[in-house]
Amino acid sequence: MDRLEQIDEFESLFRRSEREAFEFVDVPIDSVALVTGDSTNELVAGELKRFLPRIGDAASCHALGSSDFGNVAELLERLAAQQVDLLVTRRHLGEEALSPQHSLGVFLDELTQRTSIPVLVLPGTAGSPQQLPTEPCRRAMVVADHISGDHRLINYGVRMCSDGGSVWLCHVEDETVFRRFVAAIERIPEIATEPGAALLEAQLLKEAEDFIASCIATLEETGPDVTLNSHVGMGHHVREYRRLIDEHEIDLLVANTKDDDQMAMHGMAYSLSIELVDLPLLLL
Amino acid sequence: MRGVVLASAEVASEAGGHAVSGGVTVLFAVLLLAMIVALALEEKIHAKKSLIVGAFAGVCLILATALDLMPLGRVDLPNGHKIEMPVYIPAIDWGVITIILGASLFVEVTSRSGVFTWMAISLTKKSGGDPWKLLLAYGILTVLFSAMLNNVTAMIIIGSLTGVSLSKLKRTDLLLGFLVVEGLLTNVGGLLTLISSVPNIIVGNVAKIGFVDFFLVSAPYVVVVTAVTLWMGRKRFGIQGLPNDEQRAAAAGLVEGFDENESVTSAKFFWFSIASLVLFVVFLAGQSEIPVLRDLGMGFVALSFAGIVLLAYKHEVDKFYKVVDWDLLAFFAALFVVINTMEHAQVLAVIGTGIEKLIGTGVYMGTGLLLVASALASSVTDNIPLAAMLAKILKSHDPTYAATAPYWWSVIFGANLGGNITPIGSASTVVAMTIIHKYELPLSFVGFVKVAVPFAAVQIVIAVIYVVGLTWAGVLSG
Repeated sequence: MDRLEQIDEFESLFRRSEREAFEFVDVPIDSVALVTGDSTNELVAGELKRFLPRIGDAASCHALGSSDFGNVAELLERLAAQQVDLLVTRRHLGEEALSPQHSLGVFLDELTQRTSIPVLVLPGTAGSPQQLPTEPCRRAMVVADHISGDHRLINYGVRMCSDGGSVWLCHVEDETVFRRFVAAIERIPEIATEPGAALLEAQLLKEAEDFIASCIATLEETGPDVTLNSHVGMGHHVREYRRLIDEHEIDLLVANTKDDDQMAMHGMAYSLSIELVDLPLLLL
Repeated sequence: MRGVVLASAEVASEAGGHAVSGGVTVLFAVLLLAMIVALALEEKIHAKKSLIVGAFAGVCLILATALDLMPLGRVDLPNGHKIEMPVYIPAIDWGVITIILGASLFVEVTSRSGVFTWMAISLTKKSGGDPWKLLLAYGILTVLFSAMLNNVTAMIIIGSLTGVSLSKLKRTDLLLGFLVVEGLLTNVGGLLTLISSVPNIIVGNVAKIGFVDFFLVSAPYVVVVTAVTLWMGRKRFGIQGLPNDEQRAAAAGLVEGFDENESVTSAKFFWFSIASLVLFVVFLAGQSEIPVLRDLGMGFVALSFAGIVLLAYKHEVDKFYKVVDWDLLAFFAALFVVINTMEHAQVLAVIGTGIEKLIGTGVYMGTGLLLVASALASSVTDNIPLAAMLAKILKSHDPTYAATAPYWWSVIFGANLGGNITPIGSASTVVAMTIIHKYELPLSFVGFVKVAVPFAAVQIVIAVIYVVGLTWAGVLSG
């Protein structure tokens, strides 16, 4: 082993010992904007209070109707003026006549990318709206490509859950991508395939497991009355998340939509938003 | 010049008892010089040390045998028996080889317990991420690790942790200063104990210096010079403490994220390794007083402890045999063969006359000059052949030199500290430069010399004052 390899070995050892500690913040949500269409705005305010009691009881709701804005830019101006903390909307807003099954609609696509305000997407579409569940949200699921270090996402997941409820922190490593790397390792004689693949898999999952352990410890000490559960594993993103949602009877899914590398919505969040039409989603 | 060499060779040949002509001595001196140059250019010629010195050992042996310089025939054993043995086997100092083999195996196994990384990360957290406290922590650790392990491993561990922790603290602007100071301290730490560096082992073995005696002489110097080097590093590189509570809290939060237990795979083995380390030092310290161990030597202690800790990995000991630095061991073996042939070719006797002139200036002046000359020589070439050669020359110059003779200490201090003058002066400064280049920091060979010379000069001046002072006080004599 030459010197550079030895230096690299110790650097890896020290990097592996780095732990990111979760920082709990009770996210303030004082002002909620309802942009769900003229016919449902009033109804949604009541549904929201039932579904998210910790938010609905404390925050003031402002309904924005079709006369308040004509396009996304105008809507964003109104949201900025009102200093909104949460936006509630539907898929295909303003496109009631067209309801293509493989998009979210112009408004939702644009809103999630052009504002930092979290967007709560109601089930159904603007053309065929569905009600929010009548029971309070007791099971939220937080999903991310890289959950370790994503404090904001987890804090929002915890904020949405009602007292005594549980939040599932999920990290699914994309098995297809992983297999692609293993296939590359198989072609590199300098790396032993089996231990190389096993170490890579273990390290990928360990980072998420360590961070989730830190989240659980922090919330037990300082957080609200919410239980954290975890699922860390390999698999196909959408299939695995669907399975987990069904298995744990999830009421709300929380996901990131922003991707530093592109202007469009994050790939996994987009897939889930398209496919999980019946589930309320909180998109950050 | 040539006349002086030849004349000296003739004097030497009479003293040595071999019929060696001046021409033969010059031929071997040229070979020795070529080997030293080749070692200095090791990186350029892309050849490992063992191969370079092995090739020279082969050539020297063939020439020395052909010229009838080597004492061929059976070898006398202490019990009066004679055995057949190749002439190059008794030329090797097996005491040195066994110490290095045993100690490196022992350190390799105990380091698997995570004890050294645990210490490094624990101190990082204790510093609270404050740059000045971090420099103090890493400086002291560098010295301790250089003393306990070896200076190369110490530089690799502390240098890589420095890169990771300063990146986490977003203070990579201080990385160059940290790495230079750590590189300079490896050679200071290498002075702390008899087994901390190879020149110490070689000279200590020839001079019969005990482990405790060595420590008692060197420790005060190491403490003072470590403090001076850290203070100079703080001034030179502007490494200051954090100014307010807010910054201190933020930095502490970042380093708190390190988990010192990450590398500790088994608590049982962790504590077993700590106990073994303590016992290892205790046995090395007491070896010269314990009846059987006194006869078996320090190498036996090192090999025994390696064997004991290997029991923890009894099914996979071969894994540890593979990571032994065989290049280093083969280099030593070949080096001893080269030096042996140089002795028979009277080259050492010629060099000895030069050293005699230094020593002849008086005990105080001679001690100081020998230390400075050793430091300058080891700054441009490998300090191991230098130490081996000087130890042998001093021994043959006056076999009655006691273990406390100041000249041994001149060679020990000079050979270690000379490595701080240039980036090729010691293996650990080469590692420091490797890490500096890895992080693409702007420091050339000349740049290193400009930065390091004031540090090295202060360290060498303090060493001269210290060794001469001990001689004047009568602690070193004979």
